[in-house]
Amino acid sequence: MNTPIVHARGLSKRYGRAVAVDGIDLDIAPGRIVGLIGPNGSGKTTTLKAILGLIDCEGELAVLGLDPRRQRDALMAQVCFIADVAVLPRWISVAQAVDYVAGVHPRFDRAKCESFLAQTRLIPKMKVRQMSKGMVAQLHLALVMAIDARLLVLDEPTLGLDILYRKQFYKDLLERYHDAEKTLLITTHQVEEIEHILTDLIFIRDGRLVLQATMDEVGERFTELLASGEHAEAARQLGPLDERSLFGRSVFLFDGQPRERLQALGEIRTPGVADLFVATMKGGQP
Amino acid sequence: MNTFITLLKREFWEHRGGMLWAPLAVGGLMLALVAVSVVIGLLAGGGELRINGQPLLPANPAIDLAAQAAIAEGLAAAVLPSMLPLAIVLAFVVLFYALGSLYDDRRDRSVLFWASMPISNSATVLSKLVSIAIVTPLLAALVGIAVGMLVAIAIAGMMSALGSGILPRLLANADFQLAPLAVLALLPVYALWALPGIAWCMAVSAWARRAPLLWAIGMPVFAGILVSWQEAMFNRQLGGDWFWENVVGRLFGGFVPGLWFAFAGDGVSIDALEPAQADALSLVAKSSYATLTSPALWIGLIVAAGLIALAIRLRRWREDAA
Repeated sequence: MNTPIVHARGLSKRYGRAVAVDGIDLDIAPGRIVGLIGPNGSGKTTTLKAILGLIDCEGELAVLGLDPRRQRDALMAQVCFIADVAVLPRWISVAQAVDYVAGVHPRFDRAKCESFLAQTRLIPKMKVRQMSKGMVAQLHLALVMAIDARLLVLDEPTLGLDILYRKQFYKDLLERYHDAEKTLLITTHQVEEIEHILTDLIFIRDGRLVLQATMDEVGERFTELLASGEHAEAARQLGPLDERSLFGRSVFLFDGQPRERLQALGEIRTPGVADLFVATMKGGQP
Repeated sequence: MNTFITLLKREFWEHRGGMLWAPLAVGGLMLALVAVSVVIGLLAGGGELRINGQPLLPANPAIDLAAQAAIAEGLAAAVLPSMLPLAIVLAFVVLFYALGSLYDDRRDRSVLFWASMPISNSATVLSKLVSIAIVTPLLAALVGIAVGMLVAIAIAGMMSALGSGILPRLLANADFQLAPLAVLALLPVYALWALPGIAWCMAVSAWARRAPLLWAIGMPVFAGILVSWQEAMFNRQLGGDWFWENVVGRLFGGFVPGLWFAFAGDGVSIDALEPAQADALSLVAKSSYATLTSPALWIGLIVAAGLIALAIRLRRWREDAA
């Protein structure tokens, strides 16, 4: 179990002269829940596609010890994914979708899938073309969560769903799906909804990784300081990553500053992933 | 193997309309037309029944036994030709099925769902090929057999109701009884002759970013026009006629059942057949199998294998699919 789930060195992808992914080094250990966060066009979907063997790429890449470019068929028995756009075919019915996955996937648990479906308003005869967007996502999630995959990649899995569905989805994912044998790789724009379930955080920008850390390391490295007016100048001297104002006070984000020093200047707390993300994308590298 | 069955089921779920409902609708329409004719015939109560102006059933129903036997044989021999409308439906269904087979799911992006399953691209492409070249013609043939035999039975039954003994003669006719086998026996011949066209359409379907129909028909037709135009311009033979016949004609003619007689060359022909010949159906089957010795068939199959390999490769690496 010590082989990394994903291992990449110098992973690159060019589309003509445009560089989508620029020499990424990546290691993901088993059992982790990794958030891959980046703005649109940062290369995160391209990175996921390379990991899933959907596109060709340059550099060293191993997923579960297999090369997705050459051993994709073997890989897909142990890896599953939901892509960023709702992709179930419109003509398929709930019962057909379940039959299909049961027929082709050796690690699919029909009873588990049916118990997920029982929590929804989906009925076996219903076709995808008759479903709301939320229902399509529920069906897709029920199918995927019943697959015992060692790596599950979710690219914007909750896009377009309302908040009730989203909360329920992440709750199910954590309580009924994830265990020490399974690794999750998630991208989403709604960072604040997943930050409490993540164990690892990766920021990507312009095809490069700008941050790769466990959530514990993030808590140790980064500190947010709420400084009142008289301490603001002192705080600025310490070289914050970012500064914004909140109710007349200044909020600073620091990387690697000892908490004891900052405590003298005002209130400190661990920053949210969203704030950290915005600061990172605005400024230079943390 | 179970996986492959699931893939075939998947194809049927998606293409139920073309594979089942289209032949059933056309077959139903044919039966309805025959039913109307039969009712009119019965209401006319023994009036003359004419086909192409020839009296098929003389006004006096007590026709002699030899004539009755000839009519029963004629009806039995007509079972196969009466399936022509279904053969044409099949040609269109197969053409459009192949053109959409590796394109539709890229267009609606459901390809990403299929790609998330542990199914190789070869299995995907081959399951579609089997569904197009074997399952679809099989279903059309089953509908065709039922319709063809029901039409013959309805006409013979009407004649019997008018006082002849044609229906029992038809039912006892060996050719009539063997008609289902003769039709089913033609399915492998159909698949082999249709394969180059199907493979070409599937390769285009895997390649085209849009409008696979235009590309699939446009490319060979445009190439043919170019060659013919060069010939006309420079008054030289560049093989234009050969190209139209053996490339364009073969690619699209193969979709129509029975056109294999046109491609097999002079060695094999259906001309020797007499409509009322006792073993007409088995002769069609035999001479169809005789076309399998034609080099044109085997060259076409080698091309088809190359195109299928190309389709599998395109399916794997076509990046807009991912």
